[in-house]
Amino acid sequence: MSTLDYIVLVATTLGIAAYGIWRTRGKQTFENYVRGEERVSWATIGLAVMATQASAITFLSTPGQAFESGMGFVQNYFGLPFALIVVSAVFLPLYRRLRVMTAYEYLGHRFDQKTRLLGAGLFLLQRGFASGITIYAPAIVLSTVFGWNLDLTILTTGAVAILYTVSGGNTAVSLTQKHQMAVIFAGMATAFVILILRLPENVSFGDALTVAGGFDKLNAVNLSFDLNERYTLWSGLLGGFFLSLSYFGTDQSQVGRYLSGTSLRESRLGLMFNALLKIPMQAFILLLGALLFVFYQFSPAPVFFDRTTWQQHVEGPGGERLRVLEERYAEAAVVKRAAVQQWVSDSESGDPARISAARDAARAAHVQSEAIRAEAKATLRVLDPSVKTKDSDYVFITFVLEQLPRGVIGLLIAVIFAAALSSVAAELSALGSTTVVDLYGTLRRSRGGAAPSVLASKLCTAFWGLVAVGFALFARVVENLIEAVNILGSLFYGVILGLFLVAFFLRRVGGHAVFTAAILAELAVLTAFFAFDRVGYLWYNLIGCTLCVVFSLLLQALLPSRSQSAPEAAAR
Amino acid sequence: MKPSLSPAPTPPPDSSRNEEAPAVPGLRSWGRVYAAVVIGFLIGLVLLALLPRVVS
Repeated sequence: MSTLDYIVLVATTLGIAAYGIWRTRGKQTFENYVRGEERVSWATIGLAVMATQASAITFLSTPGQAFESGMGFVQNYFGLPFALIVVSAVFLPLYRRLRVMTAYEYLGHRFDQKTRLLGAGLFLLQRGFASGITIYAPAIVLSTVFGWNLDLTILTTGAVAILYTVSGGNTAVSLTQKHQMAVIFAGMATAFVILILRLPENVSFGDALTVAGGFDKLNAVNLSFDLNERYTLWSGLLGGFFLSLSYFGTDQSQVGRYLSGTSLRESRLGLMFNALLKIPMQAFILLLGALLFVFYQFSPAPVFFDRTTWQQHVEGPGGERLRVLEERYAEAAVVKRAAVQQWVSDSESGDPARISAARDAARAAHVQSEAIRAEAKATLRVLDPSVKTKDSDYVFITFVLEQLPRGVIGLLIAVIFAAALSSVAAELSALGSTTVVDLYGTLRRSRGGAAPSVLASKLCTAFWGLVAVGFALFARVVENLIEAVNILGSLFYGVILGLFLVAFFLRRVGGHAVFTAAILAELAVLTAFFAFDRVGYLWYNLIGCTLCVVFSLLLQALLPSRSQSAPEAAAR
Repeated sequence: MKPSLSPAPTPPPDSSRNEEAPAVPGLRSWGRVYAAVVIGFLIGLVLLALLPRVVS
């Protein structure tokens, strides 16, 4: 990176953080700090909800996923609009009516304190780990690519997030997220335009789409009923619905965003903004990945996109084998480039037989070059069994570094940091709020103490910041970063959602029954995942939720007199 | 609003922000917005499903 890139990166990243601190300076009340100032408009809520969900992993990993396997990942989000409608119609009005600060406070109103603590505990457990991955994921990629010190990258990201989140609380998180999303939109749009401009002169945008489609990179909808397939229309609609309902309805990092709205209307509009725009945004990022694939049909692509790791092994023992494979790959790429060029030329002929033959030739050339790529990865694995050979997380960053002009590289790295900070800040704020409101506050009140102070909230937020940074420092590389976060969420979200669905819709079920049911359901989900793992991870959301609801009904039938809890009426 | 002879309902805790009725507040007035979101999703789904065929 050039000096100009570093100036753009530092000015953008630190400028937004400083703005958040400056806007929230002065005296704060406990409620303002935890819930926000309640002067937040629908646009800010909409962008904050979007920014919280879209972490750095989204922008590093998603284009690489489309590059590798096409746009099918978009199906993961198909249940999201429906989930947001349910959150807007059912969850949000109840939260606002009871003026709760956290989602788990509602469980205390509806059931009892132990169920509230269970909900809060499950959230803290999974979100505490996930926030570590949120910091770690971009740090590992950026440190590998730029040669930065990994620990220093993690510590810097964590320190900036902790600084403005602890200083300004929920309001600072929402305010900064709006500007971070502006940086993200500007950066991604710039990358997209430059990518199109960097295609060969005789390849139009339409031609690029044709090539992407011809290599199955635009297949976004899979109608298969195979449960083992990770992304299908059905798993996206059903599993994605339950994942999104749990995430947006019960995860404090999201609940905290929309509860800060000026009114119910503003909060609802913010949610509907996401219901309408989230899938197009994801589709756009995946399309960028599909077009990156097209770009590398015409430009030299590395045989392995994690260039630093590759180079280390090329220069090490056995490196000669890798060099030979690299040369073979380069030769195969030349043949493939000619075949794809021929296909693009023949596409203008209008002769279906000729076009079909040219496409088949290009696909055959692609199969050949992919075979060499697979051989290169296998050889790398033989030379170093600890090396992670899935290099899709490095595809987009490689393009950014090698193809974008000075200044724009800095902007794109700022996109990654903005996305990381916006997610981490929301997570830390939520973890701090949940700890101080649901754990510390409950404990203090049970001992006759006053409500927690702003200082206690700040200390809790800082504590979770340190936990996240600590976890990130000791985290290991996982096969695919974005999937790791989703898998972790899917193991817990279903049961948490089950708790809330029972609370909302099954009025006869009381605290004892739902508490025991949630523990049994969570144990069943973890056993199913670690012992069998036969289904795509999205299904665990449905399984966990269903088990929690069914167990609650069964236990309530078995223990009718003990399980009916008095506070139930308070929630109605 | 017309005056009512029946006893006033007990205000909920957040009476200042209770913009809609308590059961499923605003379901009717927001129904059109939700319907628009669903229609938008379905149009997008069809476009995504047809994309590979359109460009080939």
